[in-house]
Amino acid sequence: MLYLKNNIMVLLCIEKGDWLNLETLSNLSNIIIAFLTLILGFYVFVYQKNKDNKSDEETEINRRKNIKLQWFKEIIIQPKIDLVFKFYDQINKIKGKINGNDLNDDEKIEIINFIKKEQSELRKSFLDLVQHINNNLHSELSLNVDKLTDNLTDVISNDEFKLKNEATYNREIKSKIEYSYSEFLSKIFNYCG
Amino acid sequence: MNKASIDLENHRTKGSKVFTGRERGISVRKNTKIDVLVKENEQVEIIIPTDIMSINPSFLEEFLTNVVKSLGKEDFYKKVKFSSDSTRYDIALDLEEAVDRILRNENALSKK
Repeated sequence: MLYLKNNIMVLLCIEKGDWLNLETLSNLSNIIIAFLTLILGFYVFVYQKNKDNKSDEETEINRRKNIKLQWFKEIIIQPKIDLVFKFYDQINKIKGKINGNDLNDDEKIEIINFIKKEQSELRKSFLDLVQHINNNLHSELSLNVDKLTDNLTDVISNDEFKLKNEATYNREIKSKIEYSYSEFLSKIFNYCG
Repeated sequence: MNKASIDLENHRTKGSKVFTGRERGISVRKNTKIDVLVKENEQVEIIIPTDIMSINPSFLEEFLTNVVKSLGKEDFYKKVKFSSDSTRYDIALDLEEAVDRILRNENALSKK
């Protein structure tokens, strides 16, 4: 052992008297390394703890979100989705109410009133419930249905459209109903709570 | 009694027999200054052109939103009167729908 120590000292060109200093340096570096290890250990501990807390919060938020989504599905969607289908079925019935290319004003008013009545029923039976769960979803769905009602009202009241013509009907009415329908369902099924 | 009137004839789209859309409602609300008229007068009369076929709730909701919110349902019906010579279009149901929607939205927002 002493031989090894001497060899190292020769190799590093260190005088015998200086060995003490080397030992002090070694001790010092040991202390510094131990201190850094302690800091690193403490940092890892704090970091991990924060991460765990964050993860717990996220799990709790997701749990609440899932419960809310489940309730939304069970209380509103499952029992009430038929009302949405019924609304669009009813709106599609306006084709049968268009008896000719030149409807008089009373006939037009009757069709427009029919659309507005159906919209009002959908609002009272379905949209108002959604409003209690999520106001943004309610606004999006309401805007969609308003847009459909307004588009159909504009088209039906306009003398220029010959709605008995199949192509005109499909372009001005059917396509708008289909677009509104798919957008309505898409908004419901993409709702994530 | 102070009384003001708004003739919707002056605010309709040329050739159209209907009032539809939220944007149109906002635009007519601003142009008619209905919010100020209701504040400054005891009664406001809104005249519906004779040949009108429909005033949709989407339009009415935006047109009347501030007035209904500030007056409440009862006072609104007392203070704001709709008149028309038309025998074929009755605004009652559309108005009721719009007022109901405005008050529901207000309640939903206040719960937040």
